[in-house]
This record gives sequence, C-alpha cells and structure tokens, in this order.
Amino acid sequence: MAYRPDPVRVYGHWLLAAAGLSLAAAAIGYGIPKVLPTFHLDPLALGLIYAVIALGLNIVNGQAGLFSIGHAAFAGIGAYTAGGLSTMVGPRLFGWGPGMPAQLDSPAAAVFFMASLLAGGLVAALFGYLVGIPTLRLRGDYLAIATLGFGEIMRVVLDNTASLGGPLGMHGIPRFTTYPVIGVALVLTLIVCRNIATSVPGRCFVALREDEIAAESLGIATTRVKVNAMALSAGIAGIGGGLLAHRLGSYMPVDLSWVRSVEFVLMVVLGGSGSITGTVIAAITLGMLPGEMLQLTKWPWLQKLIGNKMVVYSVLLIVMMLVRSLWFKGGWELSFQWMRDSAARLRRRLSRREGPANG
Amino acid sequence: MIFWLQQLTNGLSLGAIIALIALGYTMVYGVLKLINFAHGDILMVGAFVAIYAAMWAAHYGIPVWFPLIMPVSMAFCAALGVAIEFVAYRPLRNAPRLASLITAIGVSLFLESVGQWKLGAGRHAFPALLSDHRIEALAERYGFYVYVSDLVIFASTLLLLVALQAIVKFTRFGKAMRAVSQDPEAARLMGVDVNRVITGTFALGSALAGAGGVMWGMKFGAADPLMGMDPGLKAFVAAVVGGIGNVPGAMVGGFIMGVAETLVAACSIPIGRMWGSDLVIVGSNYRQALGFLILILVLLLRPSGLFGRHEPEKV
Repeated sequence: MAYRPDPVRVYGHWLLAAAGLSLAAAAIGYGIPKVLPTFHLDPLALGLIYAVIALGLNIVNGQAGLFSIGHAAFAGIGAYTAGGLSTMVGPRLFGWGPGMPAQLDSPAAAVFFMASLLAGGLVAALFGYLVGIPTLRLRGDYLAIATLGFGEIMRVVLDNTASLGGPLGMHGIPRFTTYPVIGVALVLTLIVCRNIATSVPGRCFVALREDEIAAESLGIATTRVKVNAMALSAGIAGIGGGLLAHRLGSYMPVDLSWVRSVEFVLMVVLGGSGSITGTVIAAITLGMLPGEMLQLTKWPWLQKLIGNKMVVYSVLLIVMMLVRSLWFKGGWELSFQWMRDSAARLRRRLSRREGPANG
Repeated sequence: MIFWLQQLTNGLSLGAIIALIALGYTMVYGVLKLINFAHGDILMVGAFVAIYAAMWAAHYGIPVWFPLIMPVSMAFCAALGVAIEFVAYRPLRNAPRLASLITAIGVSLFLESVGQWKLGAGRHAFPALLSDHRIEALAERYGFYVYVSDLVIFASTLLLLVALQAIVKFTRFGKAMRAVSQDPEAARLMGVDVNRVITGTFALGSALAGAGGVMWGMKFGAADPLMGMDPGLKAFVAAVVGGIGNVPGAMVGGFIMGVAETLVAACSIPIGRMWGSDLVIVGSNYRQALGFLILILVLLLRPSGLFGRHEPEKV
C-alpha cells in the first residue's frame, strides 16, 4: 500500500497559518480602527508603514549584516514612483479631478493602486540592484558611506528636478493607504520576510553576516547574494515608501536624507538586528513616538522631557549600543515553534512543581 | 581665464580647510578603524565656542583676534573629543565595528539635536576675526580678488598640517600612533599604552576639527547647529579619496575635494532645448552631490583610495 500522508498533518499548519494571517490582516485592517480611539490611528498607521520599510532594511542590515544608511532613498524612490503614477497617470485613466478622490472608488482603481505600489517597489529594487553591483564589493564602513552617498545624491537630484516638484516635493497624492491596505501589505511583507529568512537565500544572508570568508568557502557567491539582498530589501522599502506617500499625501526630497535612513536603522537595531518580530515592534514604537508625543499635553513635564525627538533618539542609540549585550540577541522570533517550545517548557515546570518524585 | 584662476584660488582655500578636517577622520580611523561620524559636529561645536569666546572677549575688552580665539576653540574641542571617546567609544573597544559606527552616528545626532535645542536651529552670525581687506593691486589690475583673511586661513591651515605631520613623524607619540595604526596588538606587546594613544589621537583630531570649524565659520560668516554635516561629509570623502588612515593622502584628498567642488559649482552646462526653453545643468545645484559622486568613483576604481595600500583580507 502506498504511503498516504494524512492531509491534515501535512497541510494543517499551512491552513492554520493562512487563517491566522488573514485574521491578522483583518484585525489590523478592520479591527484596530474600530477599537482604537481616533487620535491614535494616525501615529499607529505611520508605525505600521515604517514596519514595512524597516522589514525591508532588516534583510540587509539585520540578516545579511551589510550596513546600509541609504534606505530612506529607496523608500523615497518607491514613493515618488507610486505617487507619480497616482498623480500623473491616475487622473487620465480614471478622470480623477484636481481634488483627488478621498478613497479608492472602483476595483479598477484599486488594481491600479496596487500596480503603482508594485511599480514603486520594482523601481526601487532596480535602483538597489544598480547601486548594489558596484558598492557591495566594499565592506563594512565603506559600504555604509557609499549607500549614504547614494541617498544624498538622490536627494540632491530630486531637489533639482522641477518636474517632480523640486525641493517642495510631490503634493496632492491621493490618500489611498487606509488601514485595510496597510494590514494586507504588512502581513504580505511579513510572509515574504519570514519565508526568505527560513529558506536558502536567507540562510545565505546569515552565513555572510557571520563570516564572509567561511561563507565563500562553502560556495556562496558572496557578491551576488549581497546584490540580491540589496535589491530585495530596496524593493520592500520601495513598496513601504509608496504606502507612506499615499498615507501622507506628499513626499519631499528631505524625506530621502540620511537622517531618515538612520531612523530606519535605529528600528532594525532596536529590534535586535535580524529579528523580524523585534523589527516590527521597534518600528511601530518608534513610528508612533512623534505622533503620540503631540498628545502628551496632559503631562507637560513628560512632553518637555522627550519633546526633542532627535535627542531622545540619539541617546537611545548610544545607550543601546553600550548595553548591547542585553539587546543583541537577535535570534528571538514570535513563531509557532517558539510557542510550542515555551508551552512545553511551561508544562515541564508545572509538572515538576507537582511533586518532587517527578523531578 | 582670470575667472577660472579665481575659482581655483577659492577652491584651494576651501580645500585647505577640508584637508584639515579630513585629517581628524583619517587619524582616528588609522588607530581605531572607526569612522568618527561625530567629527563634523565637533567642528560645529568649535565654531560656536569661537562665537561665544569672541563675545566674551569683546565683553571684557580683550581684543577679538583670530590667534587668540582659535586656540580656545581647539582646546575645547580636544576636551570634547576625549570625553566622547571616553563615554561612547571606549566601552565598545572590543565590540563589532558596526556597533561603534552606530554609536558614532548617535553621538553625531546627539550633538546636532542638543545644538538645535539649546542654541536654536537658526544661523548665528560669525564674528569677523580677521580683516576683510583684499589685495588691491591684484583686484585693480586683473579683477582677481584675493582676501587677506583667505590667505591667513590658508597659511594657518598649512602650518597646522605641517605641525601635525611633524608630530606624526618625529615625536614619540607619533611613533606610538603609527605603531597602533599598524597593529594594536603588537604595539601593546611592545609596551605602547594603546588607550592613551587613542585618547591623544582623539584630542589631536578634535583640535583640528575645532580649528576647521573656526575657519569654516569665518569663511562663510555664519554658524548653525547643522553646519557640521556638510564639511564633515566632504572631509570624510576627502579622507577616503586619499586613502583613509593615510595622513598625506587626506591632505591631497581635501584639496581635490575643495577644488573640484568649486570648479563644478562655477560651471553651468547647457544640455539642449526642451519645450522651448534652454535646459542647463547648473553646477552649483549639484555641488553637494559631486563629493559623493567622486567618492563612489574612487571606491569603485581604487577601493583603498589614491594613496592607500590594498590589504588582502586574512582569516
């Protein structure tokens, strides 16, 4: 008799995962706006979008151990591409008037919006690829500076491109990024990142981070893997940038500056470089921080204390690095495996407590 | 012709300052293999110290002279550099280099944001520490402007460069510095107090940054809390172009950066007509991008810089 695996056992966790993720997307998309007071919604939306960009950066900075300080530029490229499609092509296709529609008004428009986000991601990935080919032969600090240089060049070029708004940037981008859109985008990004992390390319990235020479001697084409990581990461950041542009309604060259890139780096580092869960938590926290601080009028002393965002950021950055041993675990993920393990650990501890005979 | 000669002169005077700042980067990188991102912001602090020192001096009737103000700035910056090294970099001596790079960025952001917070984000007028006379004979006969202040800046920069080179080449401390930059472990085994050398290097480099800040402020007549970013990045590029860790390389790189930037800023290149109007690339709009273009080109063609030696990686 042929071996017939039990379909529930084989596909069960797939179904479970699919159900759970759909539930998560629905919870973000429809649950949060219902539950949360309105004035927390905007900061949280920013935090969730930043999570998408930070997840992109996490592939390069966290998993592959390449230090990029240019991801604000990749996000900006995505934002300008998607925003440009919405403001320049959208009106011709869908007759959007001078005042853009407040929401996606037809399925065709929704498809167009998705396509423009993807286009933003693709263009950003292309830039990531092109930037990666020459610069990724550099290592460590040099790579950081080269990506920083790329970001600054993009900023200056956009500053001087009158047709894209010059220093004022792009305005009147329709605000299509609603909570359901964010929910779906974030969950899809999570799936992609998680699957990459646990498959061959992701393992290659981690191998590179741990020891480049050893990885090379195992037959990993280091430069190619790095370029792939960069393109992938830039693409995800580009999609996040498109989302951000359609949330904020405008995007400026200043948003591409390296200071913004450092904010994304901070999210990845704070999350314990390499950890997807940590990155998402850190991105949401740091993304919400500025918006939430505006609402601290109840506690003036607290507002005064953290009123200067960048002072808090910079001190956080230094202190985090000084007490690195507490943070830099990096391996922890919120996963089924972890839940199973901790449940087993709990059970063991409980059973041990029942009687000394078991111990 | 006079126009380009004029631009070349401007470029050289800018390049001298950039070279001065680049030395700080290159020395710290030499001994610590760390890009001191806060270097540009130490420069900013130097400029502000000069502003307040000048105000204080004027208040007490002390003459506001360049040779009096600049040492104050340099001393303050040297102390600041040592303090930063002690608080932010020393605890991370054995950590992965990325960790100290992130700390350096943190220190940089900290100085900038505290500056914006306490001094305000606006521009502060920089006191005229030098006369604004120009050499009249050249101006009248050729329309070629050379300012006395530029000459003084240039001369004092060269003086500092030579002094530094002498320190590195001929003193015991310089010898120790070179030893640490070659191999910290071996230097330690030979009885060099590595930590003290690093502290000294930070003091030296930061003092140069302070001097650079005063000169930058005098050249452009203003200071603001974010002023350090631009010279900091340019000087860093200069250091990489010259081969980071290499002292003469940083000087040459600084001059290359200054001259290239000034010459490009002086250009405007017509690239054709479109929709009935002339399309012109205005060089000065792109001067900030130019440095990075040079950087990326140099990194691609000679990753170890113009004067750097390529070191193969060992397991």
